[in-house]
Amino acid sequence: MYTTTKARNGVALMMALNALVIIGVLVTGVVFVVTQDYRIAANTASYARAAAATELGLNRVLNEWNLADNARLKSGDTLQRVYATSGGGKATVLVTRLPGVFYSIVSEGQAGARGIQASARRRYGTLCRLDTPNIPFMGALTGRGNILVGGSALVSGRDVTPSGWSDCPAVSDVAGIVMSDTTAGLKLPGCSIDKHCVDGVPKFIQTPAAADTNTYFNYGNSTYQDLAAMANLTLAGGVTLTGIGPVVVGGQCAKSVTVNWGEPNRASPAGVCESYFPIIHVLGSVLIASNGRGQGILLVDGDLNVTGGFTFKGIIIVRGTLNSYGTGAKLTGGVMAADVSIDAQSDVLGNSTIQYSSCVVQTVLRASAFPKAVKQRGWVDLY
Amino acid sequence: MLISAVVRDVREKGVAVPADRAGFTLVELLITMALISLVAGAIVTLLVRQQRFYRSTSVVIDTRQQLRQAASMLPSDLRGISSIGGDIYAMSDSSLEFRSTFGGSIVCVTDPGKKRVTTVPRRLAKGSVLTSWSVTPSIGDSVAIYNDSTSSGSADDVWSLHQITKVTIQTTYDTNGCPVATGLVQLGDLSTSNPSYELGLSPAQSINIKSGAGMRFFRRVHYSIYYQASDAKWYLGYYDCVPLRLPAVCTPIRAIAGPFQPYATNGTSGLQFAYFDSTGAVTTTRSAVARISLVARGKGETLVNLTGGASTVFGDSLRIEVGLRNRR
Repeated sequence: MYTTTKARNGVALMMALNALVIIGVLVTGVVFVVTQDYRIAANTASYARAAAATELGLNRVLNEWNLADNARLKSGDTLQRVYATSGGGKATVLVTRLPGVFYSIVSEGQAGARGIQASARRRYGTLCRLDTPNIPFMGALTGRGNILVGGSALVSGRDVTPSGWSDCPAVSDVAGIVMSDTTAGLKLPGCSIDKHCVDGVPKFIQTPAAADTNTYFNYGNSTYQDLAAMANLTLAGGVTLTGIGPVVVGGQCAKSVTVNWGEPNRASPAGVCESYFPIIHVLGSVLIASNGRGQGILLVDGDLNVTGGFTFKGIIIVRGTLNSYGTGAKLTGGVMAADVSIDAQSDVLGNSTIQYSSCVVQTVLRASAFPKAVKQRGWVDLY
Repeated sequence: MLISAVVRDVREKGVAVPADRAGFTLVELLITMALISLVAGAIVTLLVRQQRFYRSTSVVIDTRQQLRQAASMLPSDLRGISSIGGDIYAMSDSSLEFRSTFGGSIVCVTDPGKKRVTTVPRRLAKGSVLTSWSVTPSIGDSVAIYNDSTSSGSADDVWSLHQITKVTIQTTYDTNGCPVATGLVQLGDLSTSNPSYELGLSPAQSINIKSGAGMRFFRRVHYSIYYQASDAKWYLGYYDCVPLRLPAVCTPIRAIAGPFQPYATNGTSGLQFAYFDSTGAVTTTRSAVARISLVARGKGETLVNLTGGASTVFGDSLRIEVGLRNRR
């Protein structure tokens, strides 16, 4: 028996290892490029989701708009809202009140829940304006039919700003009474020869527009029906209303109370109902038979009759006639009586006062209007 | 003789001696070579296929990347077009020329002569973003300013168009800059690094443009499928124009994505624009465009073979539908 020592070193193992290394490098390369491609695709998807979240923010903040913010926000004031989206995204919306009727809304959307690499952010902006009805108040009282002013009543187109009311435009006087025929249709029993119960610049305007129902019911982008559809309070016709005034319950303005028509008087600190400007829609004729106060927009499908010393700051549009007797109404803002029935006549008698105020008109319109994107170039991609 | 006798004696007597067989037998060598050939052949085949797959994958990814690049660049520009506002200058199946908004701001104040406005600064302590642009507006750029007009409603509102004739940096809180009384800035907002910009305007603005009005800055831009002679390929070409710019109002057209398939009228064009109105019908009326469709078709620069079969030309396409946000 004998043994031998052999040095038989093969190459198979080395070749196999080399092959594995080379294949590994190639596979790594392929995995790398495929992973990159996947990440690009994931980022693209996140980008699209972020853009969708951003758009959602822009739309929801307008859909969920609180009208109380119209009066509450002053120029430069901001309002932030955050909305969650499916898939862990969110939209952060910042509303900034601008001077005038404008708002800037900026929405920043975020999407992507798989870490920084797959997350994305987009930011869009919209310039909005309050879409206020363009109600053409040419005077303190505009009537389609005859108008009777007598006693100690006063109808004045001298523009006034009520005490404590702010953010008002420069005063600009208008006519006292606007109608289609001041010769035959206007009656002023009891007034002196210079007709001092009517004031304004001028005191009277005779215009065919006063005979046109569009003046009373179409307001540019909206109509009487549009305003009525937005009513905060809808009341049955044929009723007598008493005790109208602000109602505060638990420190909150009780907006569900039908006789709560806001607080037209300004105090310091401000009352909680001062920023409440309801649209009140009466489905027929109504009699307001006592003292009381309110503000907003009053739409009456029938006749409006006032016998008490009711004080109202706002806009009154009556499909029928306006009749104010006795102690009479103290109406500040703008009044229109469409006098839809034949031979109808609006009477302003007793101690009634109708006083034009562009401040009240504009404030009430702004408080009752929702913001919408301005036309043509409201939307903008922010960088 | 002596050595050979000793060797013979040793063999005959069974004495162990060191082996002297260091090589392979012929059979071993043949078998080994055959095995090595088989293994090497398999590895080389594998390597070739892997390299082919890698190259093909790269071609696919590159092609798709070019498509995505076009898809990511165009929509943000197209989305802000106001077709009803006259933003589209020219449109065809291969090109589109329009006003491209590159920023927005808010009027802080206007001068009594109505020939200048100042902007709100870009950064505000309150966090509001009222001014934002991709490039700072310069002389010759155009600006649209929202004119609230006279009625309380929006029916008579318009955007008035002006050319910027002067740009001056302002850092004061008076009527040359941006007053605190506007509510748009607070003390501390303005600085040399965060100024208000005073913009000279031509023509003069309307008296109804007031503080709070929106501004949109824009330039005329052109996108089209573009043949680049230097490499004989088709790309997405781009140029913009700014009046008063020197030495030329418009920049030379340059490729920003591609290459794509050549322009064609048979539905295979590398870039194909289509325009639709609000009802979804194809339109050629610029002011009626509500949606723009863009199809980008890419072609691989080399043949691809992902399956091991015959090599083919890789082609892919991407369709983008962009609804115009400012068409009303």
